[in-house]
Amino acid sequence: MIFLPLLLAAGAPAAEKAPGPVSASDAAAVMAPLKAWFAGIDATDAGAIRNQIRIDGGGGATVAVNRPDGTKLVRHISWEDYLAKIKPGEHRYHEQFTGNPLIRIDGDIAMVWGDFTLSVDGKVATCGVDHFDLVRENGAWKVQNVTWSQRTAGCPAQ
Amino acid sequence: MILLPLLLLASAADQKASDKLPPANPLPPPVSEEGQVMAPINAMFDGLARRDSAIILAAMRPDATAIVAAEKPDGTRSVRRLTGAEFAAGVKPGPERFEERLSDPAIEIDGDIAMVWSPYTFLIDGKVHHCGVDHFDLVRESGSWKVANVTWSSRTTGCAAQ
Repeated sequence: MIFLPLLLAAGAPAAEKAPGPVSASDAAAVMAPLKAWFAGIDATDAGAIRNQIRIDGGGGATVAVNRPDGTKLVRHISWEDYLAKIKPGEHRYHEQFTGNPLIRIDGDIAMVWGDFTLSVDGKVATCGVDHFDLVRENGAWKVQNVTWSQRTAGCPAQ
Repeated sequence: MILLPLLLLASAADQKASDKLPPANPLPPPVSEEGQVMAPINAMFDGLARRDSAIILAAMRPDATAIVAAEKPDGTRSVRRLTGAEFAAGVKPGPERFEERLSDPAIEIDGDIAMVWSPYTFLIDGKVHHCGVDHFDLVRESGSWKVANVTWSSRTTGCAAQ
């Protein structure tokens, strides 16, 4: 993509460099904030989740809900609105990836795409795909955006 | 992910869920699902080539954002974030010919969300200027895919010549 002020600052291109596969250690570094995020959901700890987000980065959360009756809904919310809904209550939540998420990294950008289930009080309530957009700044990976699909039909039992 | 009010919407009453069979002879889609996901991306590139910000804006959701992680030849790095409107506004008429090319994009789709991750090269007047990876976050609403966010890496070293 192009952003003109950066374009003007750029120099001459050189020889080709093909992107390599994601190493286990690089994958672990990208997954670390997501593991901490899921732990924050389990603990209903908004502060733990906040630490994984580029909170001033202007991103947010987008959900595409598919209801059993076939109706659909897309909502985009700010991080602050998202975090405000994470608070201790009467239910226990648990989110996890099912299977191995797809991870891609190039320099300081990364993405994770993976099937998830969200359980409430030990039972799977919703499932879908989590799509995380991550950026590395000052050596730390953080979440710029998250988008997920959400359905209640056809979810795995566990 | 979790967004509690939406979770509550999915009540037990909803879960009688339709196990309806699909129509016996559904019409084939005019374009593959991947092609539909790529449509707004191709439109953005068309808008870049035409240097027409309106085409770019039309391919993005109103709340879309654009993030660029740039590496300069001296090794310094920066991350910048723009609104979709700011991003589009940066594309103005001018004499240079812009062209963005993707190579071997990976496309993933689940219901109404999709992602495209692809190496790209950006050419000015036919010459490679910079390169990196484009990461598109797409959402389908009212049957139409649009870009919710694009994040890209940008470097001027190590780019393919063409």
